Amino acid sequence: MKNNHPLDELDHGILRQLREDPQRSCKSMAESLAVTEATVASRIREMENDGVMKIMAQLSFRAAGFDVLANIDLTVSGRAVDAVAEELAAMDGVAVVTINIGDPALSLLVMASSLGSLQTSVIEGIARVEGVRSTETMIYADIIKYRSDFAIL
Amino acid sequence: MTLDPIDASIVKLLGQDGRMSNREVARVLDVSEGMVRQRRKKLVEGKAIRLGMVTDLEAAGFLATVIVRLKTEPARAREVATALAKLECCTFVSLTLGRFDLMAVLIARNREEIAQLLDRHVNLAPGINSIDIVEPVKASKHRYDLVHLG
Repeated sequence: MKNNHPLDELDHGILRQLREDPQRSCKSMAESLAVTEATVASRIREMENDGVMKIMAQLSFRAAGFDVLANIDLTVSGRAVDAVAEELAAMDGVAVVTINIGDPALSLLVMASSLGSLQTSVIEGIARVEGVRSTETMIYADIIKYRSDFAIL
Repeated sequence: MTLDPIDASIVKLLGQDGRMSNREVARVLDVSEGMVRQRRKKLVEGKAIRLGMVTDLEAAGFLATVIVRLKTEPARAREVATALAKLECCTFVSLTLGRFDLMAVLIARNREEIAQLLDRHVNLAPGINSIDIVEPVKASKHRYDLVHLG
């Protein structure tokens, strides 16, 4: 989808201003870019619809009640990796499912309210999924950097 | 910081459309504009939410990602993590409990650039004992509505 939406100078100009101030009015952007307000509004809409970017509030894990974050590496056997990934993606405690080349076939970002609940509701839940051959958990003890302005939209 | 039901409703609306004005949010929730403004400010300042633009990695030209997991020399994990965190191409770094001491994510335009970044910033970096590379090809789920805000 994203490759079907090449961005021109005007799009880049709008993106620059929105990055600085996500709530800047279309009117003020239109004035500085010498186009109409309607043009700015429609460009923003098109970029959002095509998955180029999204202007949104993102909630912190902590405010959402998740004090514990961890990475879980998974090896898969006897079942297609896609199918396992799909089943894991449906679980509440799973924030990100990444499909890798080679082993581990899948890496997950998981979240829990406590270490105990990481074990009982997340890790033990994952272990019951058909095709999961092994799991290895790494707990994020101290996150030094987390860029929240990039995503896979 | 804990969110009450009104905070949660504000976050939900702004999560769907971050360009909604305080006035529009106030109208939908049937509260005053001042209340929305005040609570939004508190949520942002208390690092409960981030309100901003989220860019698609692919649309921004970053077509390759690598996950790096490192064993460091004892007591040097934080130093290595801090150095990686300074890199523009690094989107995530954490000290970890488990088989590795730290984990980082690097992004680049293509795989060749990834190889160069690894060579320059990981292979040649001091304090690292062993390197494990995972190459993700796609995400089948990404809750980007939730983030770590320090």
